[in-house]
Amino acid sequence: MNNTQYPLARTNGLVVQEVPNEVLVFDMETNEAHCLNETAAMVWKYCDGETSVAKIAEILGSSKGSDVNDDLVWLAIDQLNEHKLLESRMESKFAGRSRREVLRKIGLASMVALPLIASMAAPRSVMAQASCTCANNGACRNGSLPGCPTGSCSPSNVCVP
Amino acid sequence: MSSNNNRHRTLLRAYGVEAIIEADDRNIFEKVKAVASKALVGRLTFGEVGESAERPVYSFLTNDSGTVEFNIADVTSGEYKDDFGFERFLNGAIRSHIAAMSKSWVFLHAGVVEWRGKAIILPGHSHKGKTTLVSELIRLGAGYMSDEYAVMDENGLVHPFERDLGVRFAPDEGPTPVDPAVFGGARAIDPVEAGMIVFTGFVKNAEWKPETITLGSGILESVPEVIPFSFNTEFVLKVLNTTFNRAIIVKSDRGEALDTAPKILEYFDQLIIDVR
Repeated sequence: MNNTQYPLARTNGLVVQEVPNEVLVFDMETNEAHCLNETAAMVWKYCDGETSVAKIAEILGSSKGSDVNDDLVWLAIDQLNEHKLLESRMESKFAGRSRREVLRKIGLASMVALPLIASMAAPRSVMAQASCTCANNGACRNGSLPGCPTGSCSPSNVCVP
Repeated sequence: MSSNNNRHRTLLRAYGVEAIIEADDRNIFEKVKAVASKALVGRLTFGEVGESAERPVYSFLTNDSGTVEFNIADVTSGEYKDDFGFERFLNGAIRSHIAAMSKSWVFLHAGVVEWRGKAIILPGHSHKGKTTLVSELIRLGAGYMSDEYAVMDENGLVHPFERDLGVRFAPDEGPTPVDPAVFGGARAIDPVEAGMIVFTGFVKNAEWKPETITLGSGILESVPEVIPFSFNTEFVLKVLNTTFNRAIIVKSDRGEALDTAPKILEYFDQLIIDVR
């Protein structure tokens, strides 16, 4: 099967939570959370390695009651690529063209909301976001430790959350 | 260094997490227990350690020079001689560790007040002005729930984490505990459903212009404030979904807390009128 036409969604290392009209995905490998809007989520859902880009566009179109161009699906695939949500990276159809140019072209022609993936990094450390706790007493000097705001060091040079 | 036989030990249980406190000095042992009680707003028990499974240990051992070597569950360690400032450090470290290890509760860094029987949650990290905003909200009659965590159970109810407000009287100072009664506020006691989630941060001269955001965006925005997101992700996402799904989620820059607090409450009241 031609990989460039049959995208396959990644499943390993992901935690998925569906919410109304969106899908949240947490990537355990990159420690990033992603929010896929309805269009991006629907494209991702049909990235099963057996459904072609053209077919995904057709499914999307029939669910929205509107014609959907393949380019809209490719735009979603580009973003899925970017956020490592596909099993293997796919060649971008829009290589060499700016995102703005592509968005303008597809956006003007489409009645369906453009695919959008927003991301946020989660703190890795158990304590990191909870406090600016120092690994060692004395490590924190007048807020010089990353994450320690000025004034958060105690007189004995421990970092006070 | 003392032998294991001379150590005072107790099993701390809080929010479904167990940890052993051990110290070779009775005074330090009692002090650590007191700090833990304060850190976890009294929602803990102490019991026999027993011989069962391995648990994280908060250890405090005094060496020959009188320096106390501490280790908080292998997450943070160090030593101190003069305990000035250490109590506050320990308070934060224990609270953070319990919040981080809990598998049945979700701790979101946030200020929380109760208003019209619902929780207004203001997610945000330390030093972002959430205590200031919370203190203004309770001055206007909102019930005080927390200036540190929105604590959510598996049913999506928001529970009070009613430590004293940590008020910074100068930008370079650490927080001073202040009873919410000082602001004329009462402490909310019961868990409540979320009514509004407000993502806001101080921007000089900014106006309060709330825009609703989607449930998915709201959960995504809160990711950096959840302790810890990557440890118990599936449960955290479910709880956030359940909690936030019942609420309006808004985002806006804000100016001074004094000006913003009444606008937040008015906005919430208007939402209730609109719904009715």
